[in-house]
Amino acid sequence: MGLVETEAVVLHTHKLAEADKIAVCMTESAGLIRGVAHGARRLKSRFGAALEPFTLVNLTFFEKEARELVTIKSAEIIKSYFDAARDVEGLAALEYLAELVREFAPPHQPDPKLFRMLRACVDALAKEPENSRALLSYCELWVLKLAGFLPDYRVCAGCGKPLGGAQGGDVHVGPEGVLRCRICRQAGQAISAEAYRLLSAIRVSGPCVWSRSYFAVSARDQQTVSEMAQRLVRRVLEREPKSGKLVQAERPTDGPAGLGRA
Amino acid sequence: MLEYSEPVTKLIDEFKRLPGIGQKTAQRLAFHVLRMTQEEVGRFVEAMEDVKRKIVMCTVCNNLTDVEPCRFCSSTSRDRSIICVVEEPYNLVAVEKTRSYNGLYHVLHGALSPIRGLGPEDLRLANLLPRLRPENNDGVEVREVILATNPNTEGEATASYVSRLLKPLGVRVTRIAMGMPVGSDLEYVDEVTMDKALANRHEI
Ligand SMILES: [Zn+2]
Ligand SMILES: [Zn+2]
Repeated sequence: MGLVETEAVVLHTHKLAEADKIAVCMTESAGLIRGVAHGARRLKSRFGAALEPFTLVNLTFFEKEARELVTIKSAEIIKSYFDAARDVEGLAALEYLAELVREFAPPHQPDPKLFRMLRACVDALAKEPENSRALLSYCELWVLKLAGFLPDYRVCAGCGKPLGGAQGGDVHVGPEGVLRCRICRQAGQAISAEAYRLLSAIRVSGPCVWSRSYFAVSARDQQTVSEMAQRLVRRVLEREPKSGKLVQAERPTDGPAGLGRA
Repeated sequence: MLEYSEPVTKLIDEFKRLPGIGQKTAQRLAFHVLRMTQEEVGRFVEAMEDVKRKIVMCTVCNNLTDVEPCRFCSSTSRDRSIICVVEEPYNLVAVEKTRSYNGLYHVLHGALSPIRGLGPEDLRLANLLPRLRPENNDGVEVREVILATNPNTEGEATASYVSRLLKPLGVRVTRIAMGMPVGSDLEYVDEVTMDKALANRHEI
């Protein structure tokens, strides 16, 4: 409670009253917050471009007990991503990431890992927009993992025996995105050793490194992994992500490897 | 919480649907209406109904108007070779206030916003491209389209999308400058705004 100073990524803003803005931010030390920035829409506002979505800022805000909405005192730009979001594709990808974080992060609970992942992924999406299909799968898997929704891919979801090893054909993915062994597989379809390795690599690779591994496997394996991540996200949200529509519409789908939100 | 009678609750609920109005403001407004005379209420209702009945969207530029096509589109003194694209009808008013722009307008009625589910198909773009042909523009060829969407993330993405639609048609597409507000102080400007101001600098 009281005055909090922390690094933060602005996820989303909307207008409030005549001249104010509400900013939803993922902060390093206080988790997800919603704050009001008084006068932020005025021409000579002291916030300037600092509260544009995806900006990494040094945020100072005032928190009152039992009040969900905090008051943003200042926001100093550490790094702006204004130019990364300047085309529809870039904006759609970043907004999808922002939506994931907003949906999965519990409000007012510090989650430094999620914050670091968000910061790294915004940076990666800005640096390598052409790889956003891989990067967004990376974001989906990590957000799921940090929120505790990613099954442990090292073991079978049915019997708990270790998965993987040399024979990739022994790993099966079910319609809901969980992995099972050959015996427990139910209606699942076998996934290749490469797809399984790609999935396992998420734990040890940064976004840009992982996206290179992603594009190194076959289009079919890329699709397997991307669809698995999407199915899990949909299963947890119990709906289609709002910004997913444009991610799909604007991203070239490259045939079978596309985001193909069925 | 105190329970209001049904007609009052209904009015509060209607006020709450308006942008920027929460429970408290809605209650205040509803109680203000209760204090108004029958005549005042009548005038208010009539004004709202009038607006809905008389104001239409110009089929040429999408501006809100009580004549079709709107004053700008039907004017003989405006420069038909230049079109300024804005997000909302009230943005047009801001451009018009300068008195230095004498071209035509095109109102998109929104900006691209994936998170709000607003894509290109939600913008009023379909009637922009046909306007560039002289046969649809009183025989005048459009030389330039100015993109005056808001200088924020969504406005930028919208401008870049529209420019990609227009450029293949060979028309000159420009974007309004971003930079320092007049009367401000360099000391207090943020680095993104300063960066844009530098990028948009001009010879004097
Ligand atoms: Zn098993
Ligand atoms: Zn018109």
